[in-house]
Amino acid sequence: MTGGRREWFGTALIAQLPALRRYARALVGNSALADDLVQDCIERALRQWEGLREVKRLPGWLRSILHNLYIDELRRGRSRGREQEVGELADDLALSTPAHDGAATLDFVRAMESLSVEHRQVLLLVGLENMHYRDIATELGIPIGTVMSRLARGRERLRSALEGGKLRPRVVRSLEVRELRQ
Amino acid sequence: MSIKAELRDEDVHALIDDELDETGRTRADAAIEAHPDLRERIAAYRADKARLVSLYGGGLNEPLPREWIDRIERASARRPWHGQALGIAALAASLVLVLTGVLAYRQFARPARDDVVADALAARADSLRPEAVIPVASERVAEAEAGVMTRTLATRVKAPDLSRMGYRLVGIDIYSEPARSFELRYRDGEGRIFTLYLRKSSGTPRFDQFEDKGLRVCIWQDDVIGTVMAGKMSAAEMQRLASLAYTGLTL
Repeated sequence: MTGGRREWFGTALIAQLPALRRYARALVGNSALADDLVQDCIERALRQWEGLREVKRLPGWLRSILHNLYIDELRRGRSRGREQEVGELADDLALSTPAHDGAATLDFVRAMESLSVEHRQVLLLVGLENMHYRDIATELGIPIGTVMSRLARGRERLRSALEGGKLRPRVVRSLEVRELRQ
Repeated sequence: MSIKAELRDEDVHALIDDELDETGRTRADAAIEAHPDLRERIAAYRADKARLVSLYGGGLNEPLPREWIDRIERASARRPWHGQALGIAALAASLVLVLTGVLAYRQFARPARDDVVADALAARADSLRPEAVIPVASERVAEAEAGVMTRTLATRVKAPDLSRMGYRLVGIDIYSEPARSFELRYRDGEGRIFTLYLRKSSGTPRFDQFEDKGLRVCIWQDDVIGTVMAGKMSAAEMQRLASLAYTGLTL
């Protein structure tokens, strides 16, 4: 690859960072962990960028790297035999919303955190990234029907969690890691 | 008959996300009409979706950690080639050939100029006279123009679909001066205009964003094409539009 291509990649990568950071925060529910993941993602992207064939795939390619890093993080959490608290973002968001809305914000963020990663992932790609189902299917390498069923289940579980009202900060469960590796 | 029999859960969510075709929408509307509780359920899902965006959708304007930018810029800078004697010798030998080629090429092709921003803003302000003005009333016109742009720019491009950000392509202006270029005009529901000026790159990768008299301008150039995007909007909105436009530009 030429120096020009390398420079172009650096420019495009920097341009993607705000959106990638936002996605990471929403996915993992913890600002510090999200920034660590984005930093690791940058390192991996800089090592592997020559494998990126098309410009238009850059955002999805970065999200895939980030997602894999997050799964690795979850596995490490399990191997260390500890529960990883990831509820701090709820508190950050609650502080930035009007006082009367703070409790609802906390409930919503904790409801999101109660979902499995694959459900949160699809909810965020549709809701936050505004992606079409077919593009999500391509990015995740799954059939569009699976995207739709994950979305339906994810939203249903989010609603149940909100209506149930018994929400607590999410902990990473080994069961979730098994689900991700299927 | 149960609601599920009439409308699958997946279709309920496809309705919320505007992913149903006309037949599906008609069927969904009929099911909602017949079941007020379904209407309430959908309203709750829509509220959850909006809540998700309002809670997590910010932060695009937050400054990035400086070490991230430094790391990327260090890694993506052109590598120095001093000390590579063999490479220098080869470079010197080929320089003569390259210069000959460049001189020959310049007989036939005008090199892209560097003041792409000035030209783009002049085009947006109608200070430049376009060679052709093409209203885009259908997908077919846009596809035909994609062919013209592809041939002119010598790389496969198309007018990006910005509809998910509320912008619709309404016209393409073609310029022959000061460089062969295109201005894609988009309009949103409030009549705001977003322009995407496009031409061959001068070769220097650039990414920059600034505001000038209320107009947000984003320059995004790789080593093949140079784009200048402009519109009256926030930095965050431009960030999203520019990302969507740039990635959607290539096929």
